[in-house]
Amino acid sequence: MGLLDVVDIKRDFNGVFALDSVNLSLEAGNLLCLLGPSGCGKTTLLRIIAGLEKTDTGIVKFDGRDLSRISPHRRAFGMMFQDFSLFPHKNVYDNVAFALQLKKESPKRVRRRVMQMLHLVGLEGFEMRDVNRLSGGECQRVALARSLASEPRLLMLDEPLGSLDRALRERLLVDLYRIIKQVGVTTLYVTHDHAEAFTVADVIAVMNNGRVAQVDKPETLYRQPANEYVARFLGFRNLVEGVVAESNGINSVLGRLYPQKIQVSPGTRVTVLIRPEGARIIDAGQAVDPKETTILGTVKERLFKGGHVNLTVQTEPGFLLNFDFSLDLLPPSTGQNIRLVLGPSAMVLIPGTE
Amino acid sequence: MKHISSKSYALLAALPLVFLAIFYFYPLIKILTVSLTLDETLGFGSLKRLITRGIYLRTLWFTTWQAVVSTILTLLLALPGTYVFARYQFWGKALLRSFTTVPFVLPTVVVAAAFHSLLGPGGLVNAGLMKWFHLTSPPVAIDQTIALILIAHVFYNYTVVLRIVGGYWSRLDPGLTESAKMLGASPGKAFFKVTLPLLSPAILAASLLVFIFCFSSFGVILILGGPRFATIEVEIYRQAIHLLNLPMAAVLSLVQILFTFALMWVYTRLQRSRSMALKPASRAVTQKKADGGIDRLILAANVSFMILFLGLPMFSLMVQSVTTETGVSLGFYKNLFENATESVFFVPPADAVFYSLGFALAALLIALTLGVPAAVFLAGPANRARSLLDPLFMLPLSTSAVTLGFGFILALDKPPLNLRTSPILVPLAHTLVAFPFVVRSLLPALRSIPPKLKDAAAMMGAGPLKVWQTVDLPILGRALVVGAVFAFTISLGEFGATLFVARPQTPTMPLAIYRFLGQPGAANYGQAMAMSSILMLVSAAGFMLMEKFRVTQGEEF
Repeated sequence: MGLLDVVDIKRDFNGVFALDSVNLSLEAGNLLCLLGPSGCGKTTLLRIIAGLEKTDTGIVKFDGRDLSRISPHRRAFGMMFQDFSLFPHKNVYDNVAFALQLKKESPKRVRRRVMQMLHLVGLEGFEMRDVNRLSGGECQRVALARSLASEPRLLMLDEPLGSLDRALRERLLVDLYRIIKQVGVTTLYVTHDHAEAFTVADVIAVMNNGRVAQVDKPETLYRQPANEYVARFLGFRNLVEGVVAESNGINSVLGRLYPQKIQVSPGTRVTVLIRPEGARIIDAGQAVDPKETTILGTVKERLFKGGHVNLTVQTEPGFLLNFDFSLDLLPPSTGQNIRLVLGPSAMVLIPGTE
Repeated sequence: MKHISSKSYALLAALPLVFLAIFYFYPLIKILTVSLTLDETLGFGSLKRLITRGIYLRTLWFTTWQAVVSTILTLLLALPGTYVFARYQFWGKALLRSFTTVPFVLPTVVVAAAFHSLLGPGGLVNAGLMKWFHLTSPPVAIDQTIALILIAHVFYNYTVVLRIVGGYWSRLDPGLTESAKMLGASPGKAFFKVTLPLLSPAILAASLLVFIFCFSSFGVILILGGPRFATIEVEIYRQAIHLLNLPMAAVLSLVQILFTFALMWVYTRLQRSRSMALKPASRAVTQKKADGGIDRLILAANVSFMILFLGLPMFSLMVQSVTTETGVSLGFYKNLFENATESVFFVPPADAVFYSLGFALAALLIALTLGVPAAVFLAGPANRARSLLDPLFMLPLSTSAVTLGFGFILALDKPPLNLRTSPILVPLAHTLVAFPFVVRSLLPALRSIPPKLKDAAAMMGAGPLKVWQTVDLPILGRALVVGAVFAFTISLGEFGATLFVARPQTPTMPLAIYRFLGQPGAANYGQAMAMSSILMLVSAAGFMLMEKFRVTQGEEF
């Protein structure tokens, strides 16, 4: 049992499941990312935990206590909305001070805390600014300071970088991560961007269509996606269907493949994920290990990506695969015929196609 | 590229300007001069008497406080309904919104008659209570009391709050309230600390408008208040028509004009500053279906209040119009078209319908003749003349109908403009009231015409007139219909000015209703109900027509 427990939450809107049997647990001090495309129910789940939305069945527990009868303003959770929802009739100081003033803290203490928060987010000297005249990044930091000011038991962030432009996002993401870790607050973070989730999360819950598809640490998630949906959502494109062979390996259009850890009975239909960085180019006649698969193909497209080159390779039966190659090995050019070798470590078996 | 030279543009403005000069500014100047002239017979200036005589101060005081109380009551009763409109989606919402606006477009006389029919001594409520509880006298005795006046004012202005505040509220991001809740604010605290401060400009604007309407209330006070109550408007009428004290009426008119001008000025200023830096949220985000017991209760309570409070007076008006001593019949309607000898008129009431229609048609034609060139002029590229004339053309809007009517009889009854006996005075007065509305309904349509379209037509060899015919006119069509219907219905229901300028032998429908209500007897009362019902249905139909043809969705005034 964690600090926050979501137990069997169901919510439907007019017969369509927004959330279907969702179970999650979040340890104190950890950051859990709810990752999924728009419409997967992640924001609805966040709003249910906040108490802003009702659930049809299931309960939300915090510190072992059922929250269903506690209204949002008594939960002492902080929430940052996607468009920040700063109060337009208040200046920066009064926005940050809002929760503290509601608690009837002494003006002196309010002032000290507001200043501390503004220092934390790097907005010293902004107290008297009109929030309508702040840049997107400044708004985001005011919103963060405002949510943290009253020391929430749980911080919830709904696409905190969603309304900012790309260049700004990368910089602010790191700032945001540092501030959250510095404060040490237990955090729920909603995003649709897996790179963002990988950067900040202790644990990621990938959501699909109102269900939790996989909950894991970022690295585990990346190394072993639980199903094809998760793999595709994380950006993997080389997914090959196959059948587990009687003797060893998996039969596919690319020939027999030997991914790590086959624990599925022969005859089962499975998907094999081939990592983009997992292939090796060899010359004809060069010997290969029996556990490795050799593929012949033609380079259809070659994209220079800075640190590496991305090749789209058409294999002989007409299958398209995508690989990244380091620059030091002089990657082949477009139209060239190549011979690729895939070792066991380049492949992951994904049991069962959904 | 210029399609119409600036000279011909100036010509467009000339006609409405001349009209306003003769029929608006000249009467106003007349009021000013008469009020400042010393009253020779007594040796005192009317202005001095206004201040020294308690009765006039009391009138001013009553006018103000009833307007304040009416405004507060309207706000208190309409804000919950406004919340419901701003935050919930429900079946029949668009219809209900239109329905709530109907009272606002009803002629004052009809509203007065409707409340009479519901809460008067012989009204539906009293008749019902007497029947059920076997009472011998009507238990609800609020006829000719301030209570009835206040209720009628709320009835009238409910939609002003609903539309102005509601339009603003529905665009207010609900995330703001949710943020406040997440920061520890109870729903009440969130409302008072976040929602209310953000709504305050809209609430202030709506309050000011309601206050202006109630401050210049005439028909409602005259008919429902009886002789005990007089606003400045009513007092102007009494002084001018009953007591023939023109200087005093002029002084009061001056006070009224100054007050409404000042209030309108504040209102326009407020409107300009109201566009606060608020990111408008889309309707889809701000409005939800009512689910859960409390949501449903709030929704049901407000919707039923709206339907009952706004619907009952109109309903009872129609019921009373068909309730005769011999049971349900169209007798009163038939009577309207018979020249009964005991009729209180010099003419049969049916003629009032005829005159009303004639005047309305004339007002429509004059208002469009003036309004179209004025709007075409204003729609041209911005310059100093336009920024000056735009508010000038709107001025009649902030002058009460009674002062307009009074100005007419002061200014237009002797040479060079002796129109006192001419029936044209009535449509002229109505035009003055309708002109700003016509200009305002045409302007958005005119401004929406892309200049490129005109350029394209001109490139293909169309002259300025041809361009106007082929490009502007078709787009303007809808707006013209709206302007025309506006002018027509305003004229049909106009009461304050008509009371001054109409000849006894050419009464309009509102005048006929007023006279019917002032006479004893069930027949007169019934005919008042019948004629009010007709006027109500025509006004409501006109309004529905306008809603259908309106170019921009109207949530503001």
